[in-house]
Amino acid sequence: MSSTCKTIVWFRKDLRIDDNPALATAARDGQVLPVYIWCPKEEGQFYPGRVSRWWLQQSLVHLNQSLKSLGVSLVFMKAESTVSALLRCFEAVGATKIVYNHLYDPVSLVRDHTIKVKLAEHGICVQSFKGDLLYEPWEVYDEEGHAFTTFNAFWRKCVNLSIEPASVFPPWKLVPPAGTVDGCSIEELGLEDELEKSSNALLGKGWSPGWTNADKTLAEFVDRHLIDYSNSRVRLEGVTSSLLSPYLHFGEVSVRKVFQCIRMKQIIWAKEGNLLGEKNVKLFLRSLGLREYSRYLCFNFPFTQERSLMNNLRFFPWRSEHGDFKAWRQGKTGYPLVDAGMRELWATGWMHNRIRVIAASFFVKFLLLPWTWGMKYFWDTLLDADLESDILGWQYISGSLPDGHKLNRLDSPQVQGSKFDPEGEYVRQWLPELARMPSEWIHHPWNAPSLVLRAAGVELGLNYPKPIIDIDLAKERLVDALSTTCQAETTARSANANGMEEVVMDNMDRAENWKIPVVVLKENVSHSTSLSDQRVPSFQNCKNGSASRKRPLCVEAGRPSPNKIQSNDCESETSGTGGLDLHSTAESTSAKRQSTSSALPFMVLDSSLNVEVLQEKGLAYAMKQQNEGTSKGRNQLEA
Amino acid sequence: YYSPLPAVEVVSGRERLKRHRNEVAGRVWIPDLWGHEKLLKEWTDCSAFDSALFPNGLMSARAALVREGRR
Repeated sequence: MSSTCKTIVWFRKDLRIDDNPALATAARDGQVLPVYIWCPKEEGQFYPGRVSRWWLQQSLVHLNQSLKSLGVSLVFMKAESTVSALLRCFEAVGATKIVYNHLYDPVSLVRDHTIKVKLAEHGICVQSFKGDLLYEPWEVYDEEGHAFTTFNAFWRKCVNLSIEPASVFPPWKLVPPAGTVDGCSIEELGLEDELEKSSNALLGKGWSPGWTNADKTLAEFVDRHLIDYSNSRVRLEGVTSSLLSPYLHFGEVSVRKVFQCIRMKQIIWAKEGNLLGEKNVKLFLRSLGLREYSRYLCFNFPFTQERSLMNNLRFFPWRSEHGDFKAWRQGKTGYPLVDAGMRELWATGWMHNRIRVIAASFFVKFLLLPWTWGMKYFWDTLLDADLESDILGWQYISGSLPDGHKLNRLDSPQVQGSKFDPEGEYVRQWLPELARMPSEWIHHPWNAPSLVLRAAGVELGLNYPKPIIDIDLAKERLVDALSTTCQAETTARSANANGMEEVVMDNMDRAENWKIPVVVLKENVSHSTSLSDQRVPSFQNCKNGSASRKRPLCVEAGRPSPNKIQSNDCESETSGTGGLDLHSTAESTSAKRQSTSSALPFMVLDSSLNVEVLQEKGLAYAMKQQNEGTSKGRNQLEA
Repeated sequence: YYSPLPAVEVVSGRERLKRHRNEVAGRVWIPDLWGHEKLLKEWTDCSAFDSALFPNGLMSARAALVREGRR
C-alpha cells in the first residue's frame, strides 16, 4: 500500500461509487484519476441508441458530482482510439497503473485485451475486476466440465455456488494526482444530438438515472414491492416490476448488492415463515439469473461466422416491407396489445418483459420482418438496451434456444391479452381510441359486433386500424416461410456437399470457429489443475463442419402445427433485468429435448431444430479429440 | 443537526414513472419517420451484424481473460 501510487480508474458500465472494486482498489493504493472515454468509432455496430445515450449522459453527470464530493473530478475524453486517450492520461499525471471492471460483450472483450497488451508494452500495470456479475462466465459448468445450455440447469448450479460477499467499502475520500488531463466537457462528448433533445425531454420526466437513484429504487423495491413480485409478472398495467434494468445495465447498482439485499430479505422471511415472500425472492433471483445467463451464453458460445446470431433463420424468407415495419413501430398493427406496447416503448423507453416478448414475436412471426430491424429499433428506444440480454431475447422468441419458444409457435395476441390484461386496462391506458371498448372485445375489436363498436366509438380502419394481417393468414404464411427455409437449407447443404473440397478450403477458419463451445470448458476443467495456462481448444479437426451442419430444419420446423396455438402459462419474467423472458417453455420442452441431447452441450449453439446433426458431429468430434490426445495442437487459434 | 422530514414531498422513481405514464399515455404521437429508414436495407443482410459479434481477436481475448480470472 503505497500512497504514492497513481492509478487511473477507467469507468465504462460501472457508473457507481458503492461496491466498485476497481475504484476501491485505486483509492486504497493512493491517488486516483477517474476517466470516461467516449470513442464512437470503436462501438461500431453497437453504437448505443438514442435513449441509451441519454441515460448515459445523465448518469455521467451524476457520477461526476459524486466523485467531486469525494475530492476528484471525472475526466471526460472524446477519442479516436481508447488506447491513445489512456496513454495521454498516463503522460499527463505520471500514473503507473490502470484499473477497470470487466465487460463481456465481444467488442469490449477485444478492446480490453488489446489495451491490456498495449499498456503492458509501455510498462503500465493493468488490473481488472469482476464488477458486473455474480459469477464469472468461466466459473459455472456442469459435472463434466461443459458449459450449460439451458437456463434452469445453469441457475440450479449457480445458486449452489458460493459467491464472495459485496464487501468492498466505498472510498471516503479520493486524492487526485498532480497535473491535468486535457479532457472535454460532458456536452462535448456529443452523447445527445440537437435533434434528439425533444424526444429525450420526455424520458427525463419518467426516469432519474444515476447511482443514488438506483440505490433508492432498489431499497424501495425490496421493502415494498418484492413481496408482490410474482403478481407483477402477469400484470401489464401499472409499474410493478423492479425497474432496475437500466441501472443494472450501466452498473449504477452492483448486482452483488442487489443479490445481497434480496438474500437478506429471504433470510428474514424464511425465519418468519413467510412462504409468499420466499417464493417471490426465488422468482426475482431467477430474473437476476437470466442476466447472468445472457453473459454466460455469449461468452461461452461466442457467435462466429459459422454460427450466426440467428443461425436457424439464415435462410428465412424475410419480407422487407417498410410499411409493415412502420405500422409496428407506430403501434398501428390493429392488434391492441402489440400497439399498446409499442406506444409505451416510445413514450417511456421501457416496457414490461411480457410485452417485449409479444411485440418481438409478432414482428418475426406475424409480419416476417427481418429481425435485425426489430432489434435495431429496440436498441434505439430501450433505456436498458443491453447487447447480451437483447440477443438472448431475440433468440428466445425465434427458436434459437433449446429452452425458448419454438419458431413455429404463434401466440395469439388476443389470447395473451385475455391472460395478461384481462380487464383491458393496459390497452385502454395506451390506446385511448379503444378506451370505451368493453373488456370482452378489447383484445380483438375486429370480432366485435358493429353495435358494440359503434357504442364504443370505434371505427375500424378509421380511428383504429384493422388487423394488419389476419391470424389465419399469418399462420399460413409462417408455415410457408418455414418450409421455404427448410428447402433453402437443404439446397445449400447439397450444394455444399458437391463443392465439398473447395468449401472446406474456403471455410477453414469458420469451420474452426464454430466448434469452440464443444470443448472450451471441458478442456479447462480437465487440465486447469495441472497447467496454469488456459488453452484455447484446437479446431483443426473440423473440416467437415460447415458441410454436415447444414442439415435441413425440417425435423420440426417443416411440420408446424398452425392450428395449435401454444400457450405460455408457466412463463416467468425478467423485466427487472432488461432481458426477455427465457424460461417459459423451459420446464416443458427442454426437459424433453435434453433427454435426447444432454450429452452434447453445444446443442444450443445451433437451432434446437437440428439436434441430430449436432449429436452426430459432436460424437465424431469427441472421438477425434480422444484419438488425438487432448494435449496436442492447442494454441492453434492463438497462433 | 438534520431535519427528520423533508419539506417537499420526495417522489420515488416508481411514482415518477407512474405519473409520467398517466400523463403521456394516449397522448404521444410516434413520429412518421424514425430516422434510420435508409439503413434498413443494409440491415436486412445481417452479416455485418454477425461479423461485429465476432471481431478479430475475440478468441484470444476471451482466453486471456479466463486465464487471468483463474489465477
